[in-house]
Amino acid sequence: MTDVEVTPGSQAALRRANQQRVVDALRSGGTLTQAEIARGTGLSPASVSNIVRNLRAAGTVSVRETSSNGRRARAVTLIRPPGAVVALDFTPGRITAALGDSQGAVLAREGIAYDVAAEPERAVRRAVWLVETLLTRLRVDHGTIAAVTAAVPGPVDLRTGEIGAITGMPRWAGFRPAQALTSRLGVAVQAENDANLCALAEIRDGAAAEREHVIYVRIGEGVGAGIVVDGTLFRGAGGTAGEIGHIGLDERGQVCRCGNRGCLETVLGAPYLVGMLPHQGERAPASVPELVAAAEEGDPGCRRVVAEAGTALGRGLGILANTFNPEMVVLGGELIEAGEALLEPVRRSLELGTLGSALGQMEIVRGGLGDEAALRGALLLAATAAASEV
Amino acid sequence: MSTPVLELSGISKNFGAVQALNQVDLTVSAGEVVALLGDNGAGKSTLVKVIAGVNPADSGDVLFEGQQVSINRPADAQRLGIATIYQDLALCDNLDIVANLFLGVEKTAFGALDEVEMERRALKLLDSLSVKMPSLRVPVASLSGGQRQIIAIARSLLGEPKVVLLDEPTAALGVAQTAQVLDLIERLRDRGLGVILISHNMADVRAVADRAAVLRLGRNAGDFNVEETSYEQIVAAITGASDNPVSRRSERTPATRTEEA
Repeated sequence: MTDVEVTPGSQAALRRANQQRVVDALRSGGTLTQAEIARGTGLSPASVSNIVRNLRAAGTVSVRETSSNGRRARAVTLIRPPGAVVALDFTPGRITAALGDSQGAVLAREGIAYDVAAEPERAVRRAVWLVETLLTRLRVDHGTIAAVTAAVPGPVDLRTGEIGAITGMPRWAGFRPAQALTSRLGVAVQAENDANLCALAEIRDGAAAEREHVIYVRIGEGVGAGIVVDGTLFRGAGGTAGEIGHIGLDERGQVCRCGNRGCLETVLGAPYLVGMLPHQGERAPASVPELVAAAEEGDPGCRRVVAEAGTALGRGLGILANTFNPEMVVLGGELIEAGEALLEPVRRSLELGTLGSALGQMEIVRGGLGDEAALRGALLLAATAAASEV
Repeated sequence: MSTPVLELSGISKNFGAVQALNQVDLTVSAGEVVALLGDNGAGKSTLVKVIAGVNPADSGDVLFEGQQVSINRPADAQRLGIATIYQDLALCDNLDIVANLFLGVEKTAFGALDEVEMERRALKLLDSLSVKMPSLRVPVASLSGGQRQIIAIARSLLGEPKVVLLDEPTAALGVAQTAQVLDLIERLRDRGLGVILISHNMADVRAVADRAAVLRLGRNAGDFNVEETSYEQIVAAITGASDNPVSRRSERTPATRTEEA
C-alpha cells in the first residue's frame, strides 16, 4: 500500500481499490479464509491470492494454513491495529482526554480545568471539543477512532446508562453521558464508573498487576470502590456495586446526601474532612492536600482528622474483606498522600473487625497509577470494546 | 431570545471595483454566541469593521435594540455598546494589568491616578469573570497568550457593552488557554451579552457557538443552528461545495434539468 498517485481507472488504481476491498473485508470480518474473502468481495480467488501475497509481504496481514470443510485453506488476519481509542475522564473540576492505541496504551493526553459538576450538557460539549482538539493536533482522523470510554464519578446504570441519583455531582443525576457523547462525537461511547476503571487499570498495569481478587477504593469528594472478582469487574445487578461510601457506620452520625446517617462518606469524603477543621486563621487548610500537609507538619487537629478517617476506612474495608476476601486492597485519592498517618489506623481497625484468615492474605497498598488510573482504565475498556467489535 | 440586540440587513460595501459585501444580513440576540465563518476574503473582517464603525457600510440598515442607528465612526459603535477585540489585542506590553484595563479611561482622584480604586474595580471585574491572574501588577508582556486575550476581553467589558465582537480569539493558543477563552465566552453569554465570534476553528465554534453565520464571497451562504448541523454541512457552506454548478445539477431531478436546459 503506497501513497503514490495513480491515474484513475488505470490498472494500478484498480489493484489498489481491490486491495482496499480485501482490507475492509478483513477489518469487518476478523480472520477469514481466502475463499471467504473472494466470496465476500466478489474478487476472483486468483486476485485474492495475489493481493494477500502482497499484503503479507508488506506486513499488513498474517497467513496461517488451516482447513475448511475438510479442504486446505489459508486463514488471513489483519495485523495492523484496527484503530485508535479515546478515553475521557470527568472529575468535578477537570476534563481529561487521552488517545490510546488498540492495546490501550496512552499515546497522548490533554486536560483542561472545567466546572464539570455545574451542568452536564455543557461539560459534555466541552469534552467533545477537547477530543476534537486533541485529534486535530495529533492529525488523527476522526474515522479511525474505534471506541470511546468516559469515566464518570458516579454509579452508571447498566441498562439505561443513567447516572444514579446519589452522586458527587447532583446535577448529573439521571443524565446519560454515554448517549450525549455518542450523539455529539458520532462514535460509540460507553460510560463507566471511575472507581471501576481505576480497578481495571491497576490490575493491568498498576499496583495490583497479575492479581485476581482486588478491591480499589477511591477517596475523593465521596468514596467509591471498584471490585474485581476472579479477574473480572463485579458490577452488580444495576451497576451500583462498589458504592461503599454509603456503608452505614454510625447511627448517630451526620446525615448523608443519600438520606442515611453516618455513612462512610461522611467521615472520609473531602468536604466532610475539611469541614471538621476549625476555620480559624489564614493558614486553615481548605482542601485535602493542605490538610495532609498540615498533618505531616504535626498540626494536632489535622492529625486527628486523618487518623479518624483511617479508622473509619479500616472498618469499611473490614466489611469488604469479610465479604469478598480480596488478596489486595488498592487505595487512591488525595487523602492517601498522608501515608502511614492514614494507613496505621486503617490496619489497626481492620484487625479488630476482620476475620483473621481474610486479613492474613490481604495486602493494602497505594495505587501505582496515581490520578491517571481512571483514564488508563477507560483506555483499556475502550480497547476491549474495539477489539470485540472487529 | 426576544428581539435581536443587533440586526444588520442588506449591508453592502465596495472598495473601488471590488464588492466586499453584497446584501449581507446578520443578527445577534442577547445571550447568544454567533460564529461568523468564512474562507479568506469572504468578507468577515469587512463586516466586523462595518459593525465597529471603522469602515462604514455603503448601504444597508443597522438596528440596535430595535432602533435604526448609523455607525459611522468607532466612537458611535462604542457609544451604542459594541465592543470589538481585534487579533492584535492592542495591549501595552510594558504596562501592568490594571493600567491596561483602564487605558484611556483612567480613574483620577485629586488630579492624580487613583490606583487603589482602579485596582479594586479591576479585581471585581476579573472576579466576576472567574479569571485568576497571578498578580494585577505584572507587565502584560509576561502573561501567556490566553491571559492576554482574556485581559483584552475584560477591558472591553468596562464600557458595559451589549455586543462583543471577537476576531479569532483562539488563534495560536494552546489547548488549556483556548479552553480558558472558551470559558470566558460562555460567561459573556451567561451575562446576557451578544457575542460575535470570528474563528477558523470548527471545534471551537461547535464548543461555544449557538448559531453559525457563513459568508462566502461577500454574501450570506447560510445560517445554521450549531447543535443541529453537522460539521460537514457547515464546511460545505464555507467552501461553497454545496453551491456550485455540479452539486446543483446533481440535486435536480431529470425533469427540472430539462427546464434548465
